[in-house]
Amino acid sequence: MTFKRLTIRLLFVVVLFIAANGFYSRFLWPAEMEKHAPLAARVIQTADSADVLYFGESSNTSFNPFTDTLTYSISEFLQQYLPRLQVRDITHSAYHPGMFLALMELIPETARVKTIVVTMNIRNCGPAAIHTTLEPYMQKQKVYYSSRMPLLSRIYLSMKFYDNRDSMERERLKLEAWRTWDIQYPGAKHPYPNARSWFDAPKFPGEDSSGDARRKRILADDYIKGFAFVLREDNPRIEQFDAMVKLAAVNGWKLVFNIVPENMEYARLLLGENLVHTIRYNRDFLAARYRKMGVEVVDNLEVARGQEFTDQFWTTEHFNGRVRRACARNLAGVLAGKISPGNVPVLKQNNWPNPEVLQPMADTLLGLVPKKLR
Amino acid sequence: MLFNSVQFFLFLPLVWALYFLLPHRFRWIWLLGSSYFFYGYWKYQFVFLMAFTSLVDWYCARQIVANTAQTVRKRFLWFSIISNLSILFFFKYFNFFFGHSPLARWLYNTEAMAWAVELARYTIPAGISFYTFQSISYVVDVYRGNDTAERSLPRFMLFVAFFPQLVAGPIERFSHLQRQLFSRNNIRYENLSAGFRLLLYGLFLKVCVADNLAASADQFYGAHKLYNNGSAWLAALAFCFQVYADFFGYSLMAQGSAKLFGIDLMDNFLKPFLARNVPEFWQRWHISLSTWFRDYIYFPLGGSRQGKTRMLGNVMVVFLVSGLWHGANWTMILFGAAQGILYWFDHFLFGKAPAREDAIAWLHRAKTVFFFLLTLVFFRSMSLKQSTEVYGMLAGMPSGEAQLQIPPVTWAMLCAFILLDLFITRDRFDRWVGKYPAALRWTVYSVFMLSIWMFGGTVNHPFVYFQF
Repeated sequence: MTFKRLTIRLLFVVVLFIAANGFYSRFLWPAEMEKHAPLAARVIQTADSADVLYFGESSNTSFNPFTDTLTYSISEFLQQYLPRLQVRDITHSAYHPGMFLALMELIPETARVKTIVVTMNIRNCGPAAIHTTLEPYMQKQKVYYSSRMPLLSRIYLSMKFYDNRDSMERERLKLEAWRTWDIQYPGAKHPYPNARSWFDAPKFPGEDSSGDARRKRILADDYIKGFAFVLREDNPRIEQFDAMVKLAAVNGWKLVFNIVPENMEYARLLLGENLVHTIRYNRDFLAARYRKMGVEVVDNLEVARGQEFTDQFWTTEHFNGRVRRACARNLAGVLAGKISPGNVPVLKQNNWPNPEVLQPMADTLLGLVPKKLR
Repeated sequence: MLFNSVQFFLFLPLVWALYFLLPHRFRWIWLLGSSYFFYGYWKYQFVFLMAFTSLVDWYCARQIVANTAQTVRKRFLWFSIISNLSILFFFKYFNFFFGHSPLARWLYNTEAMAWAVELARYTIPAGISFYTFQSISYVVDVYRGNDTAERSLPRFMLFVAFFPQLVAGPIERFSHLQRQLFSRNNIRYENLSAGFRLLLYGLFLKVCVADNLAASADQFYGAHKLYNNGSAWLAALAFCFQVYADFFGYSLMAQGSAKLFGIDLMDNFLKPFLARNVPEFWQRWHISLSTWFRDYIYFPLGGSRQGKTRMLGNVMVVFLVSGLWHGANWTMILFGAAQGILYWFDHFLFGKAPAREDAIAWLHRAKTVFFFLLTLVFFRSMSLKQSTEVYGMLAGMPSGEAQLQIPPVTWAMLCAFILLDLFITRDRFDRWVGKYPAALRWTVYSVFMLSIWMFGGTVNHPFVYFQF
């Protein structure tokens, strides 16, 4: 008797769910998608109108509002280099391979796009980026980037069925990673076993007091936080890149990874060759791994000079127009030569402002002015 | 594992089904294993901590019974209390007292202790305050002769770890829970029905009311200086009902989960916003904690038997400890102190609450809720500075210009909750709704289900009391 009653009630809930899903999909879901995950619809539309789809984060579009005179993004430069192809971009700041992968999974099999360029940001593979507090927000968005029943996705959100670890837990995981991730790599003897011991080591005379040495110390620690790690196969980002390669193979896409520039000059100035070598080791690891899998890897890691980065006092991949153009130029070379033969890139432009001029941010310029006059 | 998670709604039916499929003598073992899995699913390391607490308290209680010499008995009692409080102190208060001290630095630089310092600084073992208090109450009750000591360690471990009430109470007493845990329960439709009703209403309160209100409260407290004075009042209102719906919802889900197994947990809330003064409020809000403080701190301090001044002092001590229990920071201590002062205020100015149900009684209720709402600013603020600034905004000091917008869906959910809370004054939800015909009942359930499915808050806000 009890089970009969329970079965009837369960059936009612199932019918209610199906009816509710119909109502929700028709009337509420589109508005929610528009509000919380506009990129989902954009991916589907764009993939059908593009030959080359560029997945980018802030490195694609971040401009210095005060000094950047070339406000084209990497993908826009790429379009100019490849005028016969339709180059479109899907850009969202702070997105990482896990998010790009979720968006790539939305591309219909029948879409026009045949080549996909994905931003490969080395700093994104480190613990500071993996355990960022932005992650729950992105994971929440990821629930929307799915082809399951809309009401089921909404229930997942109501029940917080995504990686929703809070900021304290993420902070703890970050500290744990800095303490436990081994930063030794084959072929080199690093003086510190892990990032934490590198933090603890003194770096500049007089760094305990205020002043320039203190500021340099803080910046140096920021570089350690961002880059003092060694990539291995069990890194979650590697797993995400691997999944992209598989997805591209299934869908017949040509995949290109674009390793974006890092501020190697400041890394060397602040921490010497140890950090530079670590970053290069990670770059080589990525390039070798994915070239072996048949992916085109474009290495733009060292195309930027220190002052060409917009943010001078912390680590980002925001750089000026010359660097974005250089990245696009290198990409275009690969795309035209290997991916899309017959599309000769227009590599010589003569109608732009002189891109060789450095465009440091206002703060750096201000630093040149004597303190009394500031 | 959280009650408002998909994992829990897979875990619960599985545990329930196997519980009733197993022969009676194995059921409690299954429940113990499930409870430890439930706890360890979040962070397995803390399972050992809970097992250690259980072991110490079980052993101490056994020794208290085994020894007749009062000094020995007392020694075991204090050993148990100090051991429990030390663990609680390390995980919950270490950072507050020693955050950046040389001691913390030294421990952190010790390779073997670095992980523990990281855990203590950034993670509080879920429910540690709850199961520690529950375990202490057992040892004290055994010492006082109110309870007999449990012979079996695993059985005692189940009392501490029983999953429905593990992470945020209610803080059960041994005499009430232990008997039920081992009694022969059969599947009864009434229990299932009541359990599901409580789970559904509790989930509605958490997901639809509390989580949606939390989004608005968080928006304000994330950048309070940007907002105008009206927004400060809106945020205070939002947080007041958020914390109520959140904890009340959790408690209902705890009761509902236990009810499926035929186990009754105590009521933790009894319409607190209908209380006419502060003493009555604390008899209706988080009842299991209030009664714990009454029995294990207030009475041992002398209660009200040693004059009015001493009584008022004892009240203040209880509220200060309560504040510290709620969180290791000054805002929580001030929250506790504010409750103590309000208690005095009600005691001296208004005396006993009016017995009549008239307009005056409703004015008293409004006053009680209003002052509670005000004190919650301490509860919610991230720092003393922020609480001072928010109080300034509430008082009309110059502030920002932005207006906090509470979405219409949130208002709708809040109104539904307030109306239900006003309407169901004398009964618990499961009993109240059970009085109506099936069609009406299922209409109510359907509205709750549809609201949870379509309008639940989407940002993760763990149960407010989960962190305690």
